[in-house]
Amino acid sequence: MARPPISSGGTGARRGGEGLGASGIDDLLLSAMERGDESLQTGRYIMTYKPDAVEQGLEHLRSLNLRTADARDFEDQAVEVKDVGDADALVFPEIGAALVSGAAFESRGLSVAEDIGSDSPIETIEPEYFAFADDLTGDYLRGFQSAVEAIAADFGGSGKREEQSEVDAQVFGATWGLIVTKAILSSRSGAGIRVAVLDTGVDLTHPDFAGRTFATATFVSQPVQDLHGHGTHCIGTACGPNAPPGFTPRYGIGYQVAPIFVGKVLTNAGSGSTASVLAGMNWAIANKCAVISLSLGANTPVQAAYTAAGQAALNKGCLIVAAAGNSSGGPTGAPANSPTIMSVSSVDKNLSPSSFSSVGKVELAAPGRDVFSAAPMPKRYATMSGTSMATPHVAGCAALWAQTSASLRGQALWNKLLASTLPLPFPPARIGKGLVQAAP
Amino acid sequence: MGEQQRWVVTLSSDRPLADLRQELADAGLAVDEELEEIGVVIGRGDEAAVGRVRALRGVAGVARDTPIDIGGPDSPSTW
Repeated sequence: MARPPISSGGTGARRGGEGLGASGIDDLLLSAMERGDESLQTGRYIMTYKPDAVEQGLEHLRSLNLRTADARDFEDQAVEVKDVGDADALVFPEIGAALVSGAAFESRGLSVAEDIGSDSPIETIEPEYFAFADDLTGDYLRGFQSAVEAIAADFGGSGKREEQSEVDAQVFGATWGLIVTKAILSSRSGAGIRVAVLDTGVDLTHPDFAGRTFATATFVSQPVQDLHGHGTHCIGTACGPNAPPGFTPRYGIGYQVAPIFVGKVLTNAGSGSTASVLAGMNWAIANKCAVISLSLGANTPVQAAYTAAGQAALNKGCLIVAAAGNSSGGPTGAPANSPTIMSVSSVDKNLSPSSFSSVGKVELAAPGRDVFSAAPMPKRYATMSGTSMATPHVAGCAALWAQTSASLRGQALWNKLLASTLPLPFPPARIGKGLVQAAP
Repeated sequence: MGEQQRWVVTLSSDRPLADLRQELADAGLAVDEELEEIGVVIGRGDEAAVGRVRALRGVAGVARDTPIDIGGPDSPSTW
């Protein structure tokens, strides 16, 4: 496509490479996430002009020596921001507004609090905010209302700033763990991938899992129905739905994993033994589960049987991931300490290692502090912390990666997970290779 | 017969489980589960039986079954 004409008011000095076309919206979003910016501002600004004042608005932009693109210069006024290249501003004459790049805005000394004179063509100046699609189930208002609350809080208007993570959840529509692992940006769903979660079972009546396929087995002489909560929470993180009903943020990664293999290896009181866990591992491998998640363990040295199970899994195209443990700086427990089992430590919302997490033999880290997920009915949801919560984030991400290629199984899947981590400035003993990331 | 405990027998890959079955029983191990995919046998026996099992060709190791406890429903996550 030919580049459109771009007008400028003068010849003064220009900053290079900062035009509107330089960064796509995904770049801006990732950049905001990476610097921990939770304001939802894109870094660009919107000027809205008074009725019939667009031409004056254009003149104003040019008088500031801004390279200004005009939607009228594009066929049918169909312009994508990326098409304006170096332009600092893009005017939309039909709606009487202009988008201005952050760099240009700031370099010209403009601000949102600027006193707008009565003879100015400008009606308002405001930051541009990210917008997110919602499911076509009437949840549009959820995002809109929550975004308004977040913006109002930003401007000090609402009076009370909510718990940061709750605001994130509402505005982004997903838990912080799904945001930092980039699970919410993934094009994958875990479709066609079998994931086993060996734990206290699952609440088979939970409405968020209606319509999902489960394959269940118990190894502890109690029915699979989860009366503890731990198993349901972990399964929620690994495989929960894409769009939970109502105002609930998305909390699950592999939302099309099927079947979800639920192995009850811990009783409703949370107890089990090596034997029950091994039986569960055996069952998951026999059923060709590409990912086997264990949010459990004991503070013992490496157990040979776990190592053998981990090796058998890898040989057969399965990957066992296990929680390092919450010994607050003590060594990784078993089974995570086996060399053939992937050990997961926990990080907090600010991506620093969680104080409760075990250290030492750690392959990678994942979100484990204040993780929102499913709970047995009637409670429905709960927020929990632990390497137990970090592990199913890895399991879910592993399912997304496994979906990208049939060759990503066993050791190859292990290698891919480690190779794709986000590096963090902490010792490997605490975070391994870094923060797990979902497949794009 | 001594005190019966639960044991986790890890097999080496030199001999198939079917070959070992009789020898494990003869050694005094009451087999509860054969976990074929991972090459592990769970069984009950006393210390003397464990000593005999450990000496079998095809057995990589024998360990006590160890407990796991992540805490009850109302405790904050302990793992």
